[in-house]
Amino acid sequence: MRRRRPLRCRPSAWRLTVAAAALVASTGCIIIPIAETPRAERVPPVTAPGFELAPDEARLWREASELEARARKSGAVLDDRALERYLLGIARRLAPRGALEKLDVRVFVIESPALTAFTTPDGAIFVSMGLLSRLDNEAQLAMIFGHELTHAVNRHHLVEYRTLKEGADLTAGMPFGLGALGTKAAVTGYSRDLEREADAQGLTLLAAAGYDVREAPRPFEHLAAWVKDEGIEEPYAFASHPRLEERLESTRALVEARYGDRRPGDQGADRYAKAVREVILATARLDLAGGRFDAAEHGAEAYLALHPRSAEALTVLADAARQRGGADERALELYRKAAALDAGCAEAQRGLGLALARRGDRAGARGALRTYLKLAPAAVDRAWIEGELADLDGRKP
Amino acid sequence: MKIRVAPRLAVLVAACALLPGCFQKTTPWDPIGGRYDSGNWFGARFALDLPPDWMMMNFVEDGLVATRDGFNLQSVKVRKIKFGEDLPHTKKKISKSMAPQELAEVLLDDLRSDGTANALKVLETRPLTISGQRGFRTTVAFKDGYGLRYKAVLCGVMAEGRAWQITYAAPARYYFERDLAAFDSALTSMRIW
Repeated sequence: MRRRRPLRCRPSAWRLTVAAAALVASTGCIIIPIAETPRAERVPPVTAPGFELAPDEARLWREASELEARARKSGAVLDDRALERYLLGIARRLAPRGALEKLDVRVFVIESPALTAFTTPDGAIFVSMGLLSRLDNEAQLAMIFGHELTHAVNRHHLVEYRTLKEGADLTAGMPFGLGALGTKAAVTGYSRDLEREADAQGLTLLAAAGYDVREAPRPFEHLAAWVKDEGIEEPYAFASHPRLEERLESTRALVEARYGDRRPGDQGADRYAKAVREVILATARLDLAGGRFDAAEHGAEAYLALHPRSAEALTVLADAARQRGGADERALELYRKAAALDAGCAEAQRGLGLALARRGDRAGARGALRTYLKLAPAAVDRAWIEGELADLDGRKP
Repeated sequence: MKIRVAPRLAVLVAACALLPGCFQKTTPWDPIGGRYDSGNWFGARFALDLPPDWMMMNFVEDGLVATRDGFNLQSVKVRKIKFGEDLPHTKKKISKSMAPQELAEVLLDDLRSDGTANALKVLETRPLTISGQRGFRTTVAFKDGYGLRYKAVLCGVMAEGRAWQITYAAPARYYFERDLAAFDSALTSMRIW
């Protein structure tokens, strides 16, 4: 019996088959080999004698000043000069000797409920509303500012830029354009060694400024809780690698080793609460819009602790209860309380009216909704409310 | 009879590779030609009229993205949303029992939570009938990441077991007003079935 020859393609047909198969496969994946990037050399800090901007660094600084203009123009930065002045005061208190002459230190607040902070090469610190509203006192914020200032003073941007200048732009999700190169590292996080250095030197600045060093690990605890709540897999900026737990532990260990016998310093809790109070309520509203009901309630309660007779904060709590679902009675009770505390709070009257309408209390609903329209005659939802009133009156709007 | 397997195999594999091209459009966008009709390949069907010089983006799986001069200058988007489905920016969900005002609240909060729409301000929100159903129409203003002022009309309705989001967005200066009438006309002509 003649043995069958194994199936073999002729070379040209085989090449065609492979090419066609490759065509099919190539639509699914493209693999680009990634070589390890060698680290750029460290550079002396801006406070070193004879400091001058390197040519490539000058470009980063130009980009940083453009970023500031863009951030302001984009509307993503909170327009609150008094708050900026307060925050700048903290940054200036922390700045190491000689740094303020070399860097243009300033602080901006990003209108975002996320917990983040970063700095530009020339010393602009950006901190989010979410982070400000979570921290408990000025000492905790000083730890963050100390960390960010260390990045600028020690020119970490330049090191990272020279190491990764061909890296991918990971900053597309920021609320304003960051430029293609310069401030990328600031937002996406630095390498582990630079982050560790910023944590350690940030703590030194905190202590030198007379703040309570026992507060230094707390920002990491807040960040870890936020990362867990949000289910964030790759946090960025201040919350970036090395892992938060590792940073928390190393900061605790540093505090113990360096300052174990130090007397408690300045926490600045009252100053801080007074300065960021309105940020707390504004962040609670952003959290409510984002469907982060726990965070919104936490923020509204924190605001109420500072301002117990706030009908606005009670209305945020009531809105959260209503929108969670299944808590209409609690929502109604909170709206009632808010309206009773401040009869001039339009939002409370609106919420109360709509809650009473859902419950079938026509007279109560009519009264509250009419009060709302009287308090806010140019209300953006006037047509809805007039429609609701027409329904309550049994007539067509 | 000698069977030549290899060339046939090669032709078959090549055909498999090229076949998907026969079923989908190869251009990124096409003229709408006056009326867009989604057909009912993927469930509920919708149709609306847009001026003949508007283009629609191909490869949009569940809705419509249309423009006349480019997506940064004006866009009309239609999006179907399943109840309970994750929204792009807010963690809130849309449920079947929601009143139009509650739907408006959720869709507006989704836009509010979009990190690229800064300084968002609601200019007006009101009820609107869309395709015979009770819905809403909300006008907002915001700035993009580079500070360009935009205005948008965000509309929504529940129909055919889905929530529908219909959005018109354009730079506030010149373009928004210029194409608003075309959008309103499209909205009036919209049919969901």
